[in-house]
Amino acid sequence: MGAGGVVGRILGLAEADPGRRCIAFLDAEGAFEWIDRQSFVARARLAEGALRRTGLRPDGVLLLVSVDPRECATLVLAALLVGARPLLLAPPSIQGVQSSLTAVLHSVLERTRADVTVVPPNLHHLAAELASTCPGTRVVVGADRLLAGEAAESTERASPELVSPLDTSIGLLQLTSGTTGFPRIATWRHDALLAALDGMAAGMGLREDDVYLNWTPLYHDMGLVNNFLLCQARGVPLSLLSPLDVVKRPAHWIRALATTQATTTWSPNFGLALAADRVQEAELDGVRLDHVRGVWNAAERVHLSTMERFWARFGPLGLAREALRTNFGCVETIGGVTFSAARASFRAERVDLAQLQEGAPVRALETGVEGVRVQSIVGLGPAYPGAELAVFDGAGERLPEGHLGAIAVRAAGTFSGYFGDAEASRAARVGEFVWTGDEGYLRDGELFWTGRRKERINLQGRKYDPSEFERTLDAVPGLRPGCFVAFGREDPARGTEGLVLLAEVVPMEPSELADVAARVRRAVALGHGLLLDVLWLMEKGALTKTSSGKRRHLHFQELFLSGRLVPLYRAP
Amino acid sequence: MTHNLSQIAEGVRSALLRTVLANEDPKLLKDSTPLLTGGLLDSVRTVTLIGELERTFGVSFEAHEMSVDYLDSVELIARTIAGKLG
Repeated sequence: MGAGGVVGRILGLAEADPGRRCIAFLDAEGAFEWIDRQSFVARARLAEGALRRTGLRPDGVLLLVSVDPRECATLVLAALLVGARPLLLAPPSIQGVQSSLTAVLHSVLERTRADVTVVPPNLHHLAAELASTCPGTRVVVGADRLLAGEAAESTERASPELVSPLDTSIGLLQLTSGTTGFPRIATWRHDALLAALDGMAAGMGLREDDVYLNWTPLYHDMGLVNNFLLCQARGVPLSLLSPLDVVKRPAHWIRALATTQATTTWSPNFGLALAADRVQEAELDGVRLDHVRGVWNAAERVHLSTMERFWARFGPLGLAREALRTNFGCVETIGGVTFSAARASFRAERVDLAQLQEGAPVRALETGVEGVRVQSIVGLGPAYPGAELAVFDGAGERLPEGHLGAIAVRAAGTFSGYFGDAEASRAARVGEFVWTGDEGYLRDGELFWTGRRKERINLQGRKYDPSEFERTLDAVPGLRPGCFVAFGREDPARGTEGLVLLAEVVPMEPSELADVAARVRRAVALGHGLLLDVLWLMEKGALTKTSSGKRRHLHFQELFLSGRLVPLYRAP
Repeated sequence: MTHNLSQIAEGVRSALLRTVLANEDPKLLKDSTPLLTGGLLDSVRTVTLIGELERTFGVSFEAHEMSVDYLDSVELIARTIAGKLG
């Protein structure tokens, strides 16, 4: 019986042109060898058999804790061939550092009842614990044997060789960022996934002769959808780098663009900054980037200054300014949904920050307006053909262009709901639109993203995004960079919210804490004209982030308001 | 060639202060200061530091060494590197 859904598309491409380049895995030295379509499917078939014999059933769940590109790519396809649903989780980069992974694993296993869980060798200590607390799952330590086609253990549950997922069946599961406690699990149907992938290809102007290079982890939707699945479903060759190798040596990424002749690559903003700041001239000997058509910046706030630095650094190697592209998407839209235009350099608007915070129509400013605090907002492009963007106000009314509000998307390629959470699934939609949880405005059909909607703080009629405080707080000696949360606390007496800031400090003597607090208060007052209603200094690790490194403002707001947080120092 | 542990430690301190702890007060960075468990380095900074150390000392860190047992202080990192240099 022929396979359907995404896996049917992939197998169809392999059958149509089996010898075409499909995938490559670069080692730490940048060496690689292209694997053709037929061979990659054969590798996945080998792992498919091993997964079946280990106990993975059609419609079952494979939970994979890995950052290794070869493991992730091969086992995702293998699970799809079984007719099962892969779900990837991020392992800790550094062993022994406090991580919420164990708790997240338990939570996910409890909900999905995964048939098979694969953990990396350095988490072998989790195997016995998971096996006892979640007896329904078979825990496999390390993926090597599965990749070699060896079952982790014999089982009576081997399933017949039958793969034919319905287009309307759930193809993949993906964790959300998890801003409120444990992450939700988004479900993606095969037909929606294919619609999203085809929409993406049209939106970004994907060409037959494109070659992709990706270093973002496949447990993130940027790596999984915008790179791996898109290339698999559209027949585009994809080379994969280890994220750890790139963070260690960003030149690895830039050099690989030349050696693989990749035309397209993706990165969060911090990756572009890392490359612009840390790649040394000697590491770029012989590198030319004239052939690159797309360096896509997505998944976090796109900083104009980073885009400019990246282009200033790599433009002399032939990188065209037009190649710097921007994108917006989320788990609920199954990856990227807006794509900046191929023919032009990215757009940025300078807007009056005060005006933005007051809810007035957003007006782009000319340069050099005196007495106005300006923020540059980079445009993220229009929605791909067939998808529609809309911005709504708090009452659910659709807003005209130029007005700030909640971003929603209508498209065939959106998620089905949250796994086992009907209430949250219903709340995620308004009519045919899916809420993205983000805030922004439209201009000429292009999206300008301003922040996460639900984390906005309302102070005396003005709205603030917590990320606005990042630069200010990063400059305060004694604070751990990026390790803070900010939120509002209702103050009925004043009829508004007060600003609450919790910030982690580096190790120091208790007698030094008062000075740090004073510096924070001064920096926030000078930088934003705001007074802190509450300022707590916290121990290192107190303000844990999500697996993708996002701050959890709402989560800690809940803990704070319910009295479940203890500060290291309570500033007067 | 023998490598003096204190010289290696000085090289590690220097790498830390010119890369991931560029804004920190050098006086606060002692050889025993806990870097990971003390909250000075997160995972991205640690991996960035390792890249710098590999380049500086011409060594390579193994996967099992990506651990607080090997990376939590200047002293521990220096010992790890000394073991590689022989």
